[in-house]
Parts: sequence; structure tokens; C-alpha cells
Amino acid sequence: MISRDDLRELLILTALGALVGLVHLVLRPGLPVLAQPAAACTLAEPALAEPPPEALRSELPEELP
Amino acid sequence: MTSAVSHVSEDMSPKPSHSRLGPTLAWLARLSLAGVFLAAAAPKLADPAAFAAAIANYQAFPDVSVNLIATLVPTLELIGALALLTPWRRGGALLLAGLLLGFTALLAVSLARGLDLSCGCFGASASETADPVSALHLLRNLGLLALAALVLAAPRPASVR
Repeated sequence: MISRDDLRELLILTALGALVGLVHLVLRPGLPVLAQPAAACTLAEPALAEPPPEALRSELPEELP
Repeated sequence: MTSAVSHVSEDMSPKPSHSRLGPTLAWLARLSLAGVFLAAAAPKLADPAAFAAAIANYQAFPDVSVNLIATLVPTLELIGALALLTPWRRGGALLLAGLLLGFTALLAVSLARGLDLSCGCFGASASETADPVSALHLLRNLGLLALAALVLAAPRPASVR
């Protein structure tokens, strides 16, 4: 049976874990606290990338075996 | 007088062996659960960016919260596992049971959505195709939940009141 003491322990441990996690996140270089959202695009928007130059486009071989 | 003597003799009699089985099982459960979660937390704490990428693959959380989750989950695992080895074992078992319920729900939703991704349960240092999410992960989590229940079923240590 879960008692009030158990819930108190759970609360303290959770707070401690969250605190340690936040300190770890802030002190660790290279990992922002809040990640940048992924770039979103819709079908209605034009493509940002330029089409490949003519020279890089693949061509079908003229004669297939 | 005779009743007092008989009472004393009852107390001095050896306890049946099954009375020691419960604490032994609870001790084994605590040790196993702590070992599993320490092993799970260490690689995530060492490489939180890789774990954040594994979490993002689940497509279940807002992008801005992924790094926060990737750092909080392993520290909660670490604190819960360490608490299992202290008199605060019941609080630790509750914390790990809560995490396990969350993991299990996330795995079940991912399986239902048909996502083909790496579990990331023990960090994401391995390749993305390693340890793909499967029903075995659900069974493993249910087993770990049973261990947490075993810890909670044991009586509270006398030193913590």
C-alpha cells in the first residue's frame, strides 16, 4: 500500500532528479535547453533548393543492352 | 506461569523459511531494478544529444521539449536507481514505476502507429537500426514493473517513518 510517506519520498526524489537534470543541461555545452523546432514546409510553398545543373542530371544511356 | 513459559518458547522457536523469502526477493528486485536503470541512465547522461535524437524519432513530443526530456529522463532514472539502494527505496520504486509506465505507453503508441525506430532505452550510441521497438520491449517493461511492485510490496524500513 502506498502511504503518504511514500508520496513524499517520490515528490522529493522527482524534484531532486529534475534539479540535477536542469543543472546538467545548463552546464553541458553544445545542447541547448530548448531545441530549435524542425523547419516546417508545406506543399503550397515553393521549393527552396535550386534544381541541379544540367551537367549533373543523369541521362539515360542511348543503347541499352 | 506455564502460559508465560510457553509464550517465550514460541518466540524462541525458529521462524519458518518462507518468512525470509519475501525480504530476499524484495532485495533481489531492488538490486536488479537499480542495476538496469543505472545501466540505462549512464549512456544517456554521457551522450544526451544522441538520446535527444532518439526521442525526436518517436514524434510524440514538441521539438522544443526534446532536449529537456532527454536530460530529465536519465537523471530521474539515476536518482530512482540510487534511491532503491537507500532507505528511500519505496520512493525510488514509485519513481521508476512512473517512468516505466510512461515508457510503456510511448512504446505501445509507437507500435500501434507502426513506427520503425530504435528504442533508445539504453542510450542511442548504437546505430539507429539497433534495438528496434518491438513487443519484447513491452514485455521487458512489464517485468520491470513487476520488480517495482515487489519492492513496494515489501514492508517499509523501520528507519524511515
